[in-house]
Amino acid sequence: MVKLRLERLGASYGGRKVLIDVSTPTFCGGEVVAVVGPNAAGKSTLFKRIAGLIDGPGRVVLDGARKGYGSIGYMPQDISANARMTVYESVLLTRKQQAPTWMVHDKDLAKIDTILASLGIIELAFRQLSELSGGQRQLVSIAQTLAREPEVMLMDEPTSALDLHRQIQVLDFMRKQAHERGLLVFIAIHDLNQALHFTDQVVVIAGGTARASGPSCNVITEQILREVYQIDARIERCSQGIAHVIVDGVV
Amino acid sequence: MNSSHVARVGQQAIYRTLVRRKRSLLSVLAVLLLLSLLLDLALGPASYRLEDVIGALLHPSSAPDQLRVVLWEIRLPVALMAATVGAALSLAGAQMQTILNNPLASPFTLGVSAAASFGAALGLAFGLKLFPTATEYMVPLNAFAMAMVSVLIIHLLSLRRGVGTETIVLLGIALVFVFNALLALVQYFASEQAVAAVVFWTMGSLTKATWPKLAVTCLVIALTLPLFVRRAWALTALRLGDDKAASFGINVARLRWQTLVLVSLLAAIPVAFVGSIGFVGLVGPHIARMLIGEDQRFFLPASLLTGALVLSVSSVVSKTLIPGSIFPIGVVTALIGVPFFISLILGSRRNIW
Repeated sequence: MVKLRLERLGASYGGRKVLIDVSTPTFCGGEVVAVVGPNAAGKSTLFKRIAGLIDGPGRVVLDGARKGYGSIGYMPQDISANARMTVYESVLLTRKQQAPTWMVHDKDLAKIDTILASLGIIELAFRQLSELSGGQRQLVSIAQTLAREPEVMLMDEPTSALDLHRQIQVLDFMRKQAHERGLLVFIAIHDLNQALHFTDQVVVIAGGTARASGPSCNVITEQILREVYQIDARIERCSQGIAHVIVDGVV
Repeated sequence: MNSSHVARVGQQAIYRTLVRRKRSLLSVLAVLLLLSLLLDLALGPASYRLEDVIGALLHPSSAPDQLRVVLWEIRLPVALMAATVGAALSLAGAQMQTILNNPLASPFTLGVSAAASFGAALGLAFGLKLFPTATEYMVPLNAFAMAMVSVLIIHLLSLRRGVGTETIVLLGIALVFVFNALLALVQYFASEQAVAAVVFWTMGSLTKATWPKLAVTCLVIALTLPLFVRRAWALTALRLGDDKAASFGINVARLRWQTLVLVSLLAAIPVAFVGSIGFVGLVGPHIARMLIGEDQRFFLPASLLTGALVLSVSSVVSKTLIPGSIFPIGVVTALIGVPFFISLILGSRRNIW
């Protein structure tokens, strides 16, 4: 089973420290981890640092991954690709990065069909990327990341452009992927109620540091909401016993 | 279960059909190129019938002496040079557009052609040799050296922190102005004869084609193409955005500068031999992209073929515009290219790029 732990991870842009000493407990395959925090807290930088796109101090300790670092799949926030390419081609392309022969096998195509179908976007298969709406692009981007069959997935705000139905669909889908296939999924997300509902663990990032991390219900507390988001909120359980954040106002 | 199985087979079948369509499109382009080449060979001050030309091509020994000499010594190098230069410039433009993520990138717009013209002008006007060489190769070598200098400047500037692909394109445009100004300066100090030579050179002309020059241009394509072929999936991935490509384990910065070096060779060598022929490097890849998309497995051959076809057809046009004389081909490509260039800028909403 894949395991991932961060040890004093740091990153800076042009001399400005964006990420400082981020450490976490060990997360295991099968878990969905929400990365929450205010805007410009360093969530995207953290993902890029974990994915190896930027350098910095500290260590990403990855154990039990079949393909080592190659098994980390990163879905960036910026998905504004305007390539003259169909959705199908773009997903095939990400899959072919691993074995870059020109030949395309039927089993590659079958895999793409399965992914597109499971995300409910099979009807988009032969649409041009540039014709897609923001939400459709996000779904395609998820498909592209899945096509590489990662064991760890870093998803930077994958639901920000989706309608409510699609948001729930994607979160539910990722949770199933995690539980059924032992995938470790990190999702940067703003909706704390969705974090409480769909994720097992939460990492709170603010000002470039990890303010708290652990099981969702333990981490998302009235106190941390006050500290990190400057809001007055209550955490209350609904009739089904699921914790909800109820916001009363700003501090 | 059954219906989803049918749907899956359906998607695969559609993909395979689209791939077959792309292959047929490539074949059609190749046939068109062959026809254009034959037409190019048949046309000229002395006109021959197409079947005589084909006969002389297939059986040179049995052809009349005059036809054989005209065909093999004059027209064949020119016609093949048109296709080869077109292919090289188009491939250069295609990869510039890919790595810089900009539809306006091409050897012409990034200052490579302007730099080459300046280098050539130094030789033509003052006999200045940037390399110790035979006088015959002075102009091409000067042009090549300056073209490489322009690429080097772009590369060095692009290494600076925070310089994005858009900045590189703007820097290229700045280089065009710099080298044009330098070219004007050369012309100001040069003799009248030399100015005429410089002007003719900058218009671009295939009449400078010879078998050795053709061989060198072919060699450059033959050496660079396999390197693009090997990186085909990675280069295509660049078009999904830098972050996405990097997340696939592609070293984006390294891929970009390696490609830039190869592209500079592809752009500089033809320009050095036949002068500044603009817009092929811009138009060729765009036609290829519209026809076939950006999967480099098809985009690479398509760019080669469209570039070759555009310049070959331009060569035919340059012979037929005023019967009996040959128009400078650079003028023809510019006349075709400029309207296309404008339509690109204005029509960006039509998803050409």
